[in-house]
Amino acid sequence: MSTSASAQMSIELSLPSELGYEVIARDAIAAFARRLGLAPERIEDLKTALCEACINAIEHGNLLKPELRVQVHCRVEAERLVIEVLDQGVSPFAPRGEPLSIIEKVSGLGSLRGMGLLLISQLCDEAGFVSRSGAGNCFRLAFQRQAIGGAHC
Amino acid sequence: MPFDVKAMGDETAQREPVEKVIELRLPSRLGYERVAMDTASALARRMGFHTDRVESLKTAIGEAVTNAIEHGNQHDAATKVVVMLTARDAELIVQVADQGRKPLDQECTTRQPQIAERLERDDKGGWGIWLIRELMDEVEFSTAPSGGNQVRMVIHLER
Repeated sequence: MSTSASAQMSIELSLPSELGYEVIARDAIAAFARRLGLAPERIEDLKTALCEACINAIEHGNLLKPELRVQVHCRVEAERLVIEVLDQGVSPFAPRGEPLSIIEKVSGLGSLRGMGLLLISQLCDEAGFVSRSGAGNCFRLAFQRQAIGGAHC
Repeated sequence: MPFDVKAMGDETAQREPVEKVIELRLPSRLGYERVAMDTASALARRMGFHTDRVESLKTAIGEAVTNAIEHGNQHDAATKVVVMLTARDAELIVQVADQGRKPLDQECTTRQPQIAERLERDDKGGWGIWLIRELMDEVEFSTAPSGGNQVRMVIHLER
């Protein structure tokens, strides 16, 4: 798929930065993924991962300020479905060393909170913060499209 | 849901209604109306609309976006359809705007479709605007700030 065709087949969503609105993003992007032919179990992974990413943007990136916005950009590439969650960067993401694994956390070695990024990394084919010109954090999630049957974007 | 308390700690503290706006930009390709339908449905459920009203909303927004793709944007994949959802305390406002490759014939927005005439059409279509008017509480056609066609639909929340 050419870059221009990919750009044409993109969707953009802008939401209030308020807990609960991640569900709107989840249902919107799930509909987009269904249309692309992503397998149902992968759509469930996408829904969980996207909700976690949006909650991070609302809670951490935008520090629960309801007047701010969260953007979700979704585009189709030749081999991937790419979703970017952008906040306004009131609190820039700062990595804090190697995080505890989920097993370590449930074993009592750390707080049970803060598992969002771990969960996302388990559910997506690619996930992580990407550099962004201008203010704000950009978290990218990607799903390989080889599992997409009968795609018709 | 969309309420904000502006003046806390004051005896006269009042709940002022606030708007919560969601904006969605979609490609002008048939099938993408489903994304708008599911987005609006998620918001309406969150606001507390009954299931039958959510279904009405989905049908109306599906028709509006389909019209924007087919007629307003003439299936031009380089154009976008913009859907704006505004949640207020007692209503949900839906605005669907295209880029106006073809201006909407204003007569189409008020004419009552005739069954016999419509059935003569190959696609049996032409019911969208009538359906939108039947399903939504307020409907208004206008020109969007961008110059395209715009339909503004309101559905009231009955508690």
